[in-house]
Amino acid sequence: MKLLTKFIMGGIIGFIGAYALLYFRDARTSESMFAYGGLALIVLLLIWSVYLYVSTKKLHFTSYTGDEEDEADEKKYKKSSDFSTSSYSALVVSMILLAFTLIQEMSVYLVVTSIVLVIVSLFLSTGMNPAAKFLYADREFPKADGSTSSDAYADEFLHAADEGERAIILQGLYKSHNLMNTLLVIAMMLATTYSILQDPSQMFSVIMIGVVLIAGNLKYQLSIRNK
Amino acid sequence: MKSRLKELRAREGYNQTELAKLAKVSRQTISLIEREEYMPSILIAVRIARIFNEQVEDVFIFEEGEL
Repeated sequence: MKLLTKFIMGGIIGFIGAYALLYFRDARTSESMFAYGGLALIVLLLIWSVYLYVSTKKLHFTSYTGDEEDEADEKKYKKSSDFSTSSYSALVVSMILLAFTLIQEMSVYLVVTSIVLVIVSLFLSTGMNPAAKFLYADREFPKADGSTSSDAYADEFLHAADEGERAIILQGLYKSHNLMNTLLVIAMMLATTYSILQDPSQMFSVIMIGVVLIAGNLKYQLSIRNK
Repeated sequence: MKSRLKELRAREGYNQTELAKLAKVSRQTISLIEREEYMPSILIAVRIARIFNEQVEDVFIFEEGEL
């Protein structure tokens, strides 16, 4: 069965690769190459996400006993985490693609495809998350309702998690907060260097990165200073 | 802190998922405690000790320097 799945996946990837190559053959400009490359990447990420969703579902509905039950749970957890990474990456890349096709005034076909991919990625990363459906089906996690970034949602979400999970979340978030700070500063420096060396000024991006840096750090400091 | 969780689990024939259900925590929390990567709260420690009919200090063992 595993061999068959790999065979099918290989076939799909090969087909998409060949299809993309045929497109690239006609794509004369670097803009077209970038757009079609992005398109291929998003499709691959979406297919990978669906595969992870299906395999998590399969693990969830298969009965295991003893140590196998623990191993299956661990696999489910990892696959669900990989699903989140994959589907979220698809969402971000599709948003970049949409921005690119609009800014470069590319064909309507590409713009519409980008919009469709944003919607599909958004649906996949929020509405189809296997963590909520299969991993924590018995928990009362808050409903997203499109406001997962609100304070109330964060409080409810952390309340629903147990103490070990909160410890894992805390470690992950603290590391990602530090990484984000470093990467945003690097992005700001790169945008400044680009503006000095190249013609289109990136000043707006530099200001926006600065605002995001201040807002992110302010939120963190406000969360810890009143405790 | 050392933990005898794995040994006690094997004695009672529980897997991590079953113990997690009894202790009302996630399997990930049990796994973290077993790997000694997380020190549980008093509440969870007492719950786990009760499941095995042991004293808390017999399940979670501290070395003298830690106390």
